[in-house]
Amino acid sequence: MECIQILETDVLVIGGGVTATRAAIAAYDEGAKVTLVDKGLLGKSGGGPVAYSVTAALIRPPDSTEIFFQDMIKSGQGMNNKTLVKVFVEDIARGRVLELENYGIVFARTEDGNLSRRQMGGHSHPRDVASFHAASMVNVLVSEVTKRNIKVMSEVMITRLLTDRGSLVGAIGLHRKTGDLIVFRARTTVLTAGGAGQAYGPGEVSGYTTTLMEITADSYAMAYRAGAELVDMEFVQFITAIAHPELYKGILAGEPAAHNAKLYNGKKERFMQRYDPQRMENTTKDALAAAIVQEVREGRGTPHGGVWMDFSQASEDSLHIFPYPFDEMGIDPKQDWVEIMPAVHYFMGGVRINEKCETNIPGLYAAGEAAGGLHGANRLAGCSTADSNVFGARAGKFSAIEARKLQKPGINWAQVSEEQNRVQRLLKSHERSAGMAPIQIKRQLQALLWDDVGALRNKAGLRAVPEKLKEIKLEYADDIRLRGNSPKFNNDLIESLEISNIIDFAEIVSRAALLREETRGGHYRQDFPKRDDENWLRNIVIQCQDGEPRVTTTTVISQYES
Amino acid sequence: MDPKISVSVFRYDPAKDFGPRYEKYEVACREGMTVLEVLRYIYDHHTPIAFRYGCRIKVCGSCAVMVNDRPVLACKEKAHPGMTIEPLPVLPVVKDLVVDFDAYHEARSKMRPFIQRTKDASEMPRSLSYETVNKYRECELCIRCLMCDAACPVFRKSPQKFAGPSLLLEVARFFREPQDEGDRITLALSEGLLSCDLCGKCSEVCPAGIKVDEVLGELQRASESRQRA
Repeated sequence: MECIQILETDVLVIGGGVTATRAAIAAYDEGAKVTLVDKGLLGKSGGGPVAYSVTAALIRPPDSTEIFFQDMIKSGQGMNNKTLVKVFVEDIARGRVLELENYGIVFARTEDGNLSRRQMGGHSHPRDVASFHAASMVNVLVSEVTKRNIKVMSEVMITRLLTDRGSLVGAIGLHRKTGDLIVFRARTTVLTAGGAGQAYGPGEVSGYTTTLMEITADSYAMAYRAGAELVDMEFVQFITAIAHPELYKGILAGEPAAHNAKLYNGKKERFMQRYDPQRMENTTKDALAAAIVQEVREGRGTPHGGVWMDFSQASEDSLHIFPYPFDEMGIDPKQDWVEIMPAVHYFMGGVRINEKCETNIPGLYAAGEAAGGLHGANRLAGCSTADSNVFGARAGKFSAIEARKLQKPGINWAQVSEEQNRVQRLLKSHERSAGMAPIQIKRQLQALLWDDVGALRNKAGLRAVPEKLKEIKLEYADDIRLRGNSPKFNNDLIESLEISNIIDFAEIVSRAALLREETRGGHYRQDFPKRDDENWLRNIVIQCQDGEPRVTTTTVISQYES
Repeated sequence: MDPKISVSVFRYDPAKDFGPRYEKYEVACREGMTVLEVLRYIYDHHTPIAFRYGCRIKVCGSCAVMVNDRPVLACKEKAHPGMTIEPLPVLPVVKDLVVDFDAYHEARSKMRPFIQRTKDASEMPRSLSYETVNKYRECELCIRCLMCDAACPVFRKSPQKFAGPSLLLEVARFFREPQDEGDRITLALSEGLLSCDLCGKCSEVCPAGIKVDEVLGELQRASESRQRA
């Protein structure tokens, strides 16, 4: 821990999934010296291993970029930054994702050897292709990173972005294996470690989320603390997931529509009759999630707090497109009903960017799930990995071009020693005679976010968040006790650093969710169940000023050159 | 109340300990509980042991450990009383069940695990025969959990002579890739391809169901027919 290492690079990429690897490759190809830093093991962390389906296929008549554009806006319920959408659909049409076949991925083919394209919910035409293995996409991207000999640092958790006179100059991170702090001095930095699924729960093994263990709101919290603007943070996508057994709580179950499935509550009623009698289970993801939560809250749930999903009419294809753990669960989905619940899947919001992935802080770029604005209030199916490819590559390219123009940045050593002291303080908490293990505090936060800032929100719950957060913050400051004082592979230390990110994240999401008094996409208000275009065709932007969140609203960006 | 079972876990912190030790823990064991849940239970209720996991559904390959000297994925393997949980063999231990993959990654990059070619890429998307796609698909299912290496008697005995089934599978993936122009056979031979006696222990433990020994057998036959030619 005493040891501080300094590493210099042109472009620093924070993250390890599809966005990060695409950004690293693009920045390298633009001539930059690149360093990629992943909290987990590269290729095994973040969203990479489950990025199997992607909106990718060439947009050919009768489909067009204009139709694709309109599908995005419809799904995003008018909240999308249209400049970003325009760039996105055109890049997909040019084959941004299909070029991965040059890197060795093979997307599913029909028997005649042509691309097998699927039409996903909300798309007017078939545009989705699937890889054979959930991790194929990140695997081939890791291959290309290896080919370029790009510097990769796995299992290094970036804990703070460093600024100097208003510009981003790098970051500081904890090397899990050695326990050392590393200062990355970078001309430009690309933030790609998006998502916050593990902030919701609490589960025994994982949060209530389809995402992996590393995903703990790190990008949002670090960008916020550095002064970046965050946009659309109230929009959280929930998806139907397994509710039991405990090990699989939160694992994707797939949408009922995709499996031709029906839902029943604990009383064996097809409850969607009450919520959306026309579309029933084929309603939107968000309405489905809110309905399930309401059934459970009103005492009509299953023994493990979900509802039943009947897969008996599902096709073999739909049951095998994703590695659903039905075998391990010891059930036959064609015979047995499965307990399901909504789980956190994706964050539409994030760091506010322009079409070059620039943020309001010079030198800081964001892309993929870490960035906000492209998807609006609700993300269209298959468009997350597509986003990662398009904007990951753009962020890499533009950050490398910018890096060429910049001098070697100065480091603000006061910030470095602040961070060093923060880590030391956490390690020193081991000396307390009694206290709470980090996991106990993390679980309280997960429960708070799940109950009050989850799939079904109301004013009373949201208003109570600041008070509850205050208590948790006090516990974090005064009662936390790490169960080991070595910085080397100390998961209590990692979890305690993650908790500080989740605390900031909870503050941001709850503030935005309280302000938006309507229901739209991934923001479902029990007390304002209708969409309100008259007052709310606006984005909520949050920025940290003097340690407090400053919340403003702004008109949706609708200019684009057609 | 769930019945308690006792399990033994490999504990070692090279920074502090003279050598590894085994510690016994009591775990409340639910019906169908996995090794991963046992580890998580120990972490929550006893002591913060170091271990890795990620996806819970056999796609990230992070949670491979040895149970009674057999490689398993902790997220899939059912727990049983009296079991002994240890880290993967051959690789150095960072702490407890966490092993250091640095040497593996270095060895992997020597396999040139990317498409090598001189020609420009053909127009996308490629038209591919169903057969090519299916052959490609088998190697692509690898989750790099390294359980095949842990099960391989040749690799465990002489890792300096034989790169192990996982890395040779990596070579095979590009051998089967129609776009690749690299000389994968010479590479595989230099990594000890012929040391493999096709015992099939790798395939028995592969959580992705890859017939690793058959893939390596294919490479061996390709090398033989090239020698004859």
